[in-house]
Amino acid sequence: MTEHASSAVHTAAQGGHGEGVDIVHHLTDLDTLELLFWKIPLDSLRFELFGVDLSITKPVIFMWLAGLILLLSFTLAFRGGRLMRSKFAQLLEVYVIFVRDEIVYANIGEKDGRRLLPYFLTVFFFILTCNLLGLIPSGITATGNVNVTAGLAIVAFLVIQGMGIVKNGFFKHFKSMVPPGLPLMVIPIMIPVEIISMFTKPFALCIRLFANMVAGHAVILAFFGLVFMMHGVLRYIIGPLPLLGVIGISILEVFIAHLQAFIFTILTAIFTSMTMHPSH
Amino acid sequence: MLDINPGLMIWTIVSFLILLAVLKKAAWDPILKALDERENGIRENIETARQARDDADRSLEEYRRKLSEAQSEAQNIVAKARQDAERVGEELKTKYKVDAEALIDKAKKQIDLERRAAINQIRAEVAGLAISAAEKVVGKSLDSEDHRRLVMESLKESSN
Repeated sequence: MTEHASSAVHTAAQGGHGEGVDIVHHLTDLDTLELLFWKIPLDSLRFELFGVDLSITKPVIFMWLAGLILLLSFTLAFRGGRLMRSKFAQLLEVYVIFVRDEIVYANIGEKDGRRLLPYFLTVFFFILTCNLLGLIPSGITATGNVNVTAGLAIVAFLVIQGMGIVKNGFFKHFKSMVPPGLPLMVIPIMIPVEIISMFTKPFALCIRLFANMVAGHAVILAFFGLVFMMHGVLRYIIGPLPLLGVIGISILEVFIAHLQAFIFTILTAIFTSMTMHPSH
Repeated sequence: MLDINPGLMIWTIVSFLILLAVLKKAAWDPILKALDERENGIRENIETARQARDDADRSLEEYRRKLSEAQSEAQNIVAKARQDAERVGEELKTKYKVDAEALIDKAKKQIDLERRAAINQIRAEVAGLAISAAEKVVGKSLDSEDHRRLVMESLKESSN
């Protein structure tokens, strides 16, 4: 981590490393906040607590930004009472109703789903906002860092297992891993498989979200890189063509940002429903 | 990007949980409550509208039924009235016919009576004249009562 930081500072001090786009550096750099042409190093925000590196890095700042945007959007847009809704509030409402009806109520049911709605709404909107923030110039995608998606997956894991325990009781929840009527010989195989599957589900959530977000950005950066691969007059003649690719992929990314937020949320809902109703 | 960074995980979890708590309080609870209220309101409105429509349908049906009843009743009344009128007309016709016939009969009888009286009177007159003429011819007055009777008898015979 520190080597990254120092190299970033190093190249910045050199006045940039010439031309080109360093995709890996762009996706992995945690310590320099880029605001158009200004680079703000975040070294002063490094600190450790009980031997854990709790530095406030770029993803943390963008998560907070996403949270702030959500908080402001939902409080300001819905401020005008129930009858005088702004267009933005109506748009947000469509999302809220979609998450409620198509994701939570459709999978978990209305009675249990109502209690879990705040969690699923927060997950959906948080991931969506984080995904979209990466499409803004100078923005990064916090969900393009595997640690962030791992954190979200850990929370999802706790919700999935927790709801199973709350709904069915502690022992019944873990007993339901082994379906009734199973041959005795299979049980020694079944239990490890079930335990592994308990962890693979959130792990898959984590990797899926992270990989999709990284891939989209890598493609966009690669298109940008094409511009810099050309030299001289060519750059000005053919250079605009990759930009069309950037625009196209960016539009696709808006869709993928929604899609991945949706997939993460609906899979969590389905897994939760599976632990809550283990009979099938 | 792929290196494990527990600090970032912790930050993610902490930030997410704080965001969840804040948004639940500030956004989700009021918004979901408002949505529920609005949906219940709409559901109630739809229910009320459906009820009103059912009521309207029912009254319409009733009115339609009443109207058709009234129509058939009116037709019955008209038919009955026509029947009555025909019957009364028929009755009156026969009654007047009978009356007229009776009247004509009566008139005929009267005329007959009058005629007979007139004939008798003429007869008496003629008898008187014949007697007075005979008196003049005979020059002598007969017993008038006897003569009169004789003449009357002869006249009666001749007239028959």
